[in-house]
Amino acid sequence: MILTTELLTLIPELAAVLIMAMYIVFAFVVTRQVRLMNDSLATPVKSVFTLMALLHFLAAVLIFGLALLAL
Amino acid sequence: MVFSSLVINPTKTSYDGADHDERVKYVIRRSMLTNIPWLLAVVIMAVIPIFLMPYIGNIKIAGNHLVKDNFLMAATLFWYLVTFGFFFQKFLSWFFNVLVITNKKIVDMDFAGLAYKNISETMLYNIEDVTSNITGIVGTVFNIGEVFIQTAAEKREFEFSGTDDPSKIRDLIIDLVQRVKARDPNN
Repeated sequence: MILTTELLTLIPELAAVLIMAMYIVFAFVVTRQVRLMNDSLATPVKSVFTLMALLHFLAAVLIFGLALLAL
Repeated sequence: MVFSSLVINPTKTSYDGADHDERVKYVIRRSMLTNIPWLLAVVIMAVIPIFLMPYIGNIKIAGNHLVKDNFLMAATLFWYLVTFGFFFQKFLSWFFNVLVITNKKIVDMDFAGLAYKNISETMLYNIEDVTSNITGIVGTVFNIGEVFIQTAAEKREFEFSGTDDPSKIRDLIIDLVQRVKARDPNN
């Protein structure tokens, strides 16, 4: 019974971790997309977009790590 | 102002494939007002955890919390990251879906989501006529509409919707086309 309860509480957390892992892929694709857009139209804020996309990706990895530790 | 819907003579701006003697004269984006629906969605997404997280944190199964406090904190951070990701995507879509007008060409850039990119361009001397169009109550109140650019080359039409003051854009383009055709009447 205890095992069943623990499993039940683990399921939503595992599902959330899976979504976070998929988000890392999305965040990586966003960095590529920003590069493509910056190549198509170069603007004075090109480096700001690149930095934001990179920070977004790093934050996704960091939060995924935090979630794994909190499991 | 780089984040404006009409940028005149922008500095440090060029597009992929620009000629060495080509200068960007105008960059035209959709009206800022077209961003309001997704900005509202961002605000709603930002306030959701304030109401939802305490509720989720209190759910218990057989005396145990469904989600541990530490994990709930990570999940909240993740939610805000997703909110930022949504904002960033929408902002990039607004910023890079542009009509670039140079001293030689008109370039229409369309990006949609992560996997669609379409860029069309035509020489200014190919432009036959430019039409502006405002429809609907919102368009009439806020002076937002479409600009259609008809070219001679392949009977292709460029369309740019949701722009501020479409009549002004039409006038800017046609003035530029007239100058180009007057400079080189053979084209």
